[in-house]
Amino acid sequence: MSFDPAAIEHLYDTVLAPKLSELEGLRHQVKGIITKAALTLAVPFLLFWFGGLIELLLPAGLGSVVSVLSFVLIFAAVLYIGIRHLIPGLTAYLNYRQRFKHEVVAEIFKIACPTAAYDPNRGIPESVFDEAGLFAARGSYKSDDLVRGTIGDTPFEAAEVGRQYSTGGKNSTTYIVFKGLFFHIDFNKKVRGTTIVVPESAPSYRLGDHGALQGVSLEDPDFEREFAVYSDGEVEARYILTPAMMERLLSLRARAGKPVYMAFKNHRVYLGIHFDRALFEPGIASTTSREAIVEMAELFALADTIVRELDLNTRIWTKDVDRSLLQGSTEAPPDPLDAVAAQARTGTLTTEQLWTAALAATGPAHAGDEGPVARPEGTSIAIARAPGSLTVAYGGTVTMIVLLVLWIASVLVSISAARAFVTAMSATMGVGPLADLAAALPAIPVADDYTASLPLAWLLGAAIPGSLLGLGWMFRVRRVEIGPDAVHISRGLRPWPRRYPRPPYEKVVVVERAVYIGRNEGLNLVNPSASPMLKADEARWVAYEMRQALRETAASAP
Amino acid sequence: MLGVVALVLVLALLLVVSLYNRLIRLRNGTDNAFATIDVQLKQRCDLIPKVVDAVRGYMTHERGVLERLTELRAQATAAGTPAADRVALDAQMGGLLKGLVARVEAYPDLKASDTVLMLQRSLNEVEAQIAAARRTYNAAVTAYNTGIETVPANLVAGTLGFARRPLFEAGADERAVPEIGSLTR
Repeated sequence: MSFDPAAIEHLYDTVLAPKLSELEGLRHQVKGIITKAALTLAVPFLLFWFGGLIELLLPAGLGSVVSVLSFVLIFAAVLYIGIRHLIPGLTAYLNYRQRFKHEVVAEIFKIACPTAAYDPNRGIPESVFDEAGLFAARGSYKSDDLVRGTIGDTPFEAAEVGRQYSTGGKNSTTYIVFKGLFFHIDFNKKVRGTTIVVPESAPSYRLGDHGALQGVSLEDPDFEREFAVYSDGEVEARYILTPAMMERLLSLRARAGKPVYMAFKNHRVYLGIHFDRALFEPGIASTTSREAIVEMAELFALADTIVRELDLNTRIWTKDVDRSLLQGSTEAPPDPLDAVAAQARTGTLTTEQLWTAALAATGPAHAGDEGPVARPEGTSIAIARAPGSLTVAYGGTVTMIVLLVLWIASVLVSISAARAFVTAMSATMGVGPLADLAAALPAIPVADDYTASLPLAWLLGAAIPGSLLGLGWMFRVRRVEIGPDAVHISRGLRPWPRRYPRPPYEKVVVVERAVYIGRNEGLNLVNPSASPMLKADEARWVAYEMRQALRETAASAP
Repeated sequence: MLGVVALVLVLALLLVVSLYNRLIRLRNGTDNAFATIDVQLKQRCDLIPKVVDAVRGYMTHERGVLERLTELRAQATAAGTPAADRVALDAQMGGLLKGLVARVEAYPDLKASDTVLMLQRSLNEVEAQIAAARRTYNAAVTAYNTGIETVPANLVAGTLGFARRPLFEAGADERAVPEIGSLTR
């Protein structure tokens, strides 16, 4: 390893330890939300598992009450966690992770790999990962923690990469193709064909299609035991894999302690070390440990180890150093919001400046300084202005009633199908308290005739679209009222509107044709929606009217 | 009875044919690999006049070596030189070139010259390619030798005219380490 372990220890004691304790608040917040969610779920589950014991104590006839209750509670708990914890939990976690990467990982990186640059939000493009056909090119791809620079003369880039796919169908299996560090390095010899070197024991689902390549057997028996080589040119494979190179690869394999995959193509080396776990992540259950920090430094130093172990700085052949790798021309430009977020983290911007920057980054459609917007023709939205207030009524109550009717129908079908399903199951095996639960469900006259055959299909077919329909009417915005001291938003069938006090709810933002009311202080990802999905011109008009109203009513307030 | 004998004969014939075809495939593999070496050796040969031109003005003490190189190259590229002789000539040239490159270190003007630097890199390149081609040839020859020496091919290989082929070894000239003095300067 090229870095000085003492330097990392010193960094930990002087810089990282205070940083980590600064981040402790965020960590506790994340941990707290996870704990709360787990406890919320644990109670009904415990009730479900030990329900039998409690039922023994109850008078006969009340026996099934506990199971039914526990079932209802499990559903209620899932719904509650979803509404109450999911978004705040995710927001807190992302915030914690982002700060950890920028403030802790970036510091480690400076010590471990001083000749390169680190960007936690970018990765190696999928096209580069797939270029040499080393790994199976299917399924989902994710890459972050990009490192790019030179070691000696050799340009390189490296990033954490994850690729996995599911077979789909009835017995779907998920395969992790690759999860670890992927390096893309300028090679010191000219390579015209493709040569890949994979662990002898590599499972075939990891590997890309190399039907066009031939197996090459090499002289070194140790190497042959460890690696399999495929190439479209035997001589070129040996040109790359000289006896010295084979020894070096074996030594690299031993140092990495993990399976190493390599491809040589286009005068480049593509090298993956399969760690099979996430790297550079902050601790949640406990503070990120000193060992974890040292390990991160070692991972960063791997690039250095590879370049030196493989002797890539020796440029005695006709191949010149190719710096085009450092341009990363094939990747998409970074998200402008990342830049805003980076600025925000410096803490030097006022809220007003932050909003302006965020709005500028997301495009002019979201800005508030456009001129008056006329009422679009044919809209069913009604806006009523009164002194000191503005009321926006969204039409489409008919749609809502249709959604509600469909939802009720799907709930009834689900109940009927669930009953039929449990009855069918109990005929062949014991289903325990489920049988009581099913018996407690009411009979649904017409639906029962249909669900008796194929109950499971009916259950899934009704429950999934049913719950989506439910979201449609439960959260659909009906009416927004802006007053001098609060914004009232009515949603779904809720008879009373929800109240959003002013301040802080003073901002109007349009995202994807829906209008949101934002907070005036701090940046918050979760802003209440103030409209259903609208047409683009309707969204602009509503947002304009709301901004006007917010400005006027604020001025008229004492 | 006659039918059984005929069947055995037909089977034996089929076996010999398939053995023969396999050995031919292996032998062609070695021929092909040898041709690859030849291509690389020719490339090295083509580099020699350039090297000689680049260093002639400076390396007055090495005049003998330069003349010998030119001479060897003329022999190797002359039409009608058998392959085996050419390989021997190439081995000698390789050894001389290696020594020459090592001695360049002693001439500061030469060492700094871009042309010489590029030529050195080209020589390294071609040496690496030759080494790879030789290893490929050796792999092919090993497969072929194993093919003709294992049962049952060993019973018929001699009769069918398949003889063991030698492996490539680094020639004495090439293996020789350049003088220490020229390297430590």
